Amino acid sequence: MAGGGEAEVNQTSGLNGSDNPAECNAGGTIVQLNKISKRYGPVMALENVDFSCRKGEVHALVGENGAGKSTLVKVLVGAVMADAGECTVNSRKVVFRHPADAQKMGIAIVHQELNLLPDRTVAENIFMGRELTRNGMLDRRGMSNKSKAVLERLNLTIDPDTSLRDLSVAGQQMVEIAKAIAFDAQVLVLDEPTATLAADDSQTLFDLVRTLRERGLAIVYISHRMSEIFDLCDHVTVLKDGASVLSKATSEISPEQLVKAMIGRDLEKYYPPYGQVSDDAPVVLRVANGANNVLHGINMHLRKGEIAGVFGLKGSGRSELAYALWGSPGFTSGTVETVGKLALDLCTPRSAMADAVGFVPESRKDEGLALSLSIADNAMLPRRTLDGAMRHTSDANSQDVLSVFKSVGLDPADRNGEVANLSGGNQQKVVLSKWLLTGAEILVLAEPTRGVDVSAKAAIYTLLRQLADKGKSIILLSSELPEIVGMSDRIYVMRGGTITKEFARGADEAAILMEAGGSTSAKG
Amino acid sequence: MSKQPQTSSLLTPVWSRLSRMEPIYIILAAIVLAIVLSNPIYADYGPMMQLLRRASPLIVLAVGQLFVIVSGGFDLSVGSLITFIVLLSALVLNTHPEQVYACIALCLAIGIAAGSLNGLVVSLLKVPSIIATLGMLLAYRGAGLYLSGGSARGNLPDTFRAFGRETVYGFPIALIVVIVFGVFAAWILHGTNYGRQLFAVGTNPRAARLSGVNVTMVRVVAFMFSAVSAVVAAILLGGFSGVSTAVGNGYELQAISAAVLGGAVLLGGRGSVPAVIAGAIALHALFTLLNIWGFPKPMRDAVQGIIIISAVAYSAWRR
Amino acid sequence: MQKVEHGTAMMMSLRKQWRDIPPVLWVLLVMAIASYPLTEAFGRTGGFSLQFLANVVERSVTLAIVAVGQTFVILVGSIDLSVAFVISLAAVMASYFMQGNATMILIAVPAVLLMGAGIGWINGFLVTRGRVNPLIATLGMGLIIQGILSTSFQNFAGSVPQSYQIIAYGSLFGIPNSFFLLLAVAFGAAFVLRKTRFGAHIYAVGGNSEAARLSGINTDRIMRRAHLIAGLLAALAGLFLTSRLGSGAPWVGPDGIYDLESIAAVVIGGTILAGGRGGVFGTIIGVLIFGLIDSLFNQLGIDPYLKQVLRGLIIIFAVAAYSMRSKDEVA
Repeated sequence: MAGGGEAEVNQTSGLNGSDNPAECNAGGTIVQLNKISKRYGPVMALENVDFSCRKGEVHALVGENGAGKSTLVKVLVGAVMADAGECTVNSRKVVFRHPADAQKMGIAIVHQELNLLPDRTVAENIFMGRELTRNGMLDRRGMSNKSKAVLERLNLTIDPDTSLRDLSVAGQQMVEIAKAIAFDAQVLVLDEPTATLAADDSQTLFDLVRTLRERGLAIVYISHRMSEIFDLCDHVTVLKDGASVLSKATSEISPEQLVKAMIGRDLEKYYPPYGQVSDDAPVVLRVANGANNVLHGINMHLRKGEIAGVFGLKGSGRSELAYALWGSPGFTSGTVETVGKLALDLCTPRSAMADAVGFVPESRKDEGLALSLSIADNAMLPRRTLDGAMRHTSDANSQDVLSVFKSVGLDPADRNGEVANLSGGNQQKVVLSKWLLTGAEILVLAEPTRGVDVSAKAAIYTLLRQLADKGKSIILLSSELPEIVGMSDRIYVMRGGTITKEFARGADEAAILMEAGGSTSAKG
Repeated sequence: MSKQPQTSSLLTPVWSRLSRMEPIYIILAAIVLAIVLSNPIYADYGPMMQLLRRASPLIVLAVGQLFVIVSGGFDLSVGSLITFIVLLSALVLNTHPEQVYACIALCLAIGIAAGSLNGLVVSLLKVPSIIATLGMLLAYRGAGLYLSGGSARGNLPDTFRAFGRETVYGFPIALIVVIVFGVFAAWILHGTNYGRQLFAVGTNPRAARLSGVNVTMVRVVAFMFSAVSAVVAAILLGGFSGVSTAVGNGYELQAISAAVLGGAVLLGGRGSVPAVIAGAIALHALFTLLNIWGFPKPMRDAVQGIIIISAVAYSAWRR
Repeated sequence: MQKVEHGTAMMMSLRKQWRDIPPVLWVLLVMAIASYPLTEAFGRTGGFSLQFLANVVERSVTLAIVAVGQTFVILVGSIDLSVAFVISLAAVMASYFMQGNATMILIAVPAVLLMGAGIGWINGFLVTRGRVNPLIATLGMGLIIQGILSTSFQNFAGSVPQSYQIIAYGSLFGIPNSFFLLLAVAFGAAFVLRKTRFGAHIYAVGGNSEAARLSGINTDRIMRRAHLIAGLLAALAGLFLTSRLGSGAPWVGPDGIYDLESIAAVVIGGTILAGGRGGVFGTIIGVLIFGLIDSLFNQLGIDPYLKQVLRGLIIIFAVAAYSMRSKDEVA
């Protein structure tokens, strides 16, 4: 049963450039996942999912955030073990207990964040952990030559002796791919590879993917972008709510059909009804021509009592916009007005707080909470900061504090317990109550339901709508499309560091997704 | 009372509270008991007060160090700052013996300046505090010796030394200083908004910054507190040890060990003033005990080394 | 694309090592040398001479050996604050074992080196298995050594035989032996870092521990071995120091501030504190700069205590020059 043990692994044969061309056209199934199920606590991440990929095929794996893509990939590369189901590689049954097992069977992955050494050369990176030696010494020349051969076979003009730091992000990604496949890879998983690339660079990546396909690799390609899926991929599998709902050749379906398969869920019972904001409600926040080193030409406004959604894929500038609205780091040019007055001082969290703005950051654990402190200490921190440092500790037992806890659905009796012991949903409520305690009128929420289970999500949605109905104005930045569509009174879509389009409430999800994905392959 | 354990901390039965009590109080009680058993004279009021009085500079220092530790850093400069202050006061008061209070004010001002310097170097120049304060350790030591020409010069007048030596109605002034300082520190750390900010900075500086906390200012104040505690400790030490060029040697690590003994978590976020005071008394008592048992003085270093490594390893394993 | 003519492999790697040295060092070095004529103006003896530079190098050998060891642990992303105490221990043990007896050299030297390596390994073990922060593990280890050592020895312990002092004071072809020791350590370390898999893994673990782990490198083992080397070289430095002093005492290590100065020399030499970038030759230059500054102070007749103040400040600002650009939170 132990997967890698019996596989014949010849570490360097893949570098000799003598792949048998007969194998390339075979088109046989390399990896087959049968009836995979995986449960995380109460959440069924995958349920009876079948997935297979064949030689010389680029197989798109799509689905919304939380649909189960990353879990499926983790099962495939041995990062997690499935609860049920089986995996075969080249018709032989295997069990991966560790990523190294999958690597030995020729399954490699390129993660979104690069796992490379910026200060080392390309060759050193490619051979990291598998250095060649001659007479006990590193064989630099040999590694350099072999890296050169690998890179040339991929039609890449990268000098193996340059420092990785000197390459562009795209170049570094190419090196990561070269590293992944340099040792007999049969299957390569690319996890949203274009998320961090500019359009031209994406083209280089697509060329590389096509080269690999010709060489007979199976490529699992995860992406949200329709254009890439239809230009590049041969086959597409759609996951929704942990199940595989569609698996077809891309030539057999249209983008509209694909998007429908991805979305299309019964939203009504999940999201509260939209608000009743009239078009002449006062504008509480207006950004004109906001720009910094990532963002440019940001023009947006927020009316009182409104939830304005901002949708953008990874790398669209959505995260940066959230930080910019919170002054950390802020806009370097352009103007921001709050409640009709010019807020030139929206440049540090402190001054944003003073302007009655509140902020829920993307990462609850890294940016939102001091986990080993109590609920009250976390929730009270901004208010105490506003009250003044040398004042006697602002009371966590006063009636208004307790009522805020109650209003967000936290048990006020727990207030002295460690926030680390709370569930994700309740932790998020603690972060939110920070700003209800400072009396913020404008709330900037970045991914407020990330890593939160379904029922807690619904509770947070209801809470947000209640707040908006009570007159708070909310900017909701998210990469989860159903959330944006289900919650927003108005929707901004971001791409390439700016807002590209505005949609009215309840807009068509497909149209929004198409807009956000853009046309990355329009060039070249 | 068969309440659910989660219901409310106010309704928790007494035994459960006892079991959650900081272990340092039990350690302290055990050490004191061992001392009394080894040498019954310590059961008397006089010798016990003497022991506490001797512990007072360490108590003050440990409490100051606690602020820096809670913020996530270390202050290793306090030992040589003590020496510097003692040598400086001796020189100043040698020529102007009547200006004791002016001299103390000057020393406190130096403490505030030294602390802000440490804090700014760490916060703005991003030098890790362990390196920054080790560098300042060298600088203060050199400065002290430079001022005094390499040997203990000058004299401390009795009014200055009274803080360390004298008693009021049989109660050492040094302990009054400790109590005043301890209550003040406990109020700042556990009773003000600043204290809450300090814990937040030590636990997650990024989250604190995004909650509007001025992280730089919070850190600088913590270092200032530590440096001022060194000045206070210097005044007490000058009182009962007199002038010497080695008066503060080793106190920085004793302060850290005492804080760790008192349950403060190195690298930030956890600690309490009363427990650290108990930790400082316990460490001093432990040294006294080692002394009674005939262990040579340098063994104290080894004991401290074992304390800090095992305390950190223990908290790493518990997580 | 222009093709660089490949020289021999060794030349390539040497060139690479030199390239790791930040240009500011060369500026500093030139400045330090150029300032010697200035000291003439103060009417001090010596000034700039070959003999003088030789003295600077000779006095820097101990620090250089420790700093090379420190380079290994810093490259791997750790740190060693126990080196000063290991030096004391090695110095005391060496002279205690030898007691002026030349035949004991052959036993004392390997024993002391083995002890240094053992302490380094324990440091590494505490860091990897004990999950103790390296600053604290090595600080605590230093305290333990210091405590035990000072308990056992109150003063200079024993002495080394005349023949042993040849290491520090002898010369071959007019070149002091200490130069050869320095060169051997520096080139040996450069060889390990540049020419062995272990060296490559050190850079990988320090540069990106997670990436190294995913690439199949046993990161804990690399960390322990780096610590072992730091301990070994600290012991070697202690042995050399004993040869210079003729005997060892418990305070020789801490008095030389070898812990802080070795870290500062490594950082000034262009190795980043986070690990993964830098090299041995930069460290050697960093050490020489300290030696030059020290000698410059002597030439200018600066008070020894004031010198200590300046040393502390120089260390802080040298580290600051590299750390202040970091965007991370530092505590």
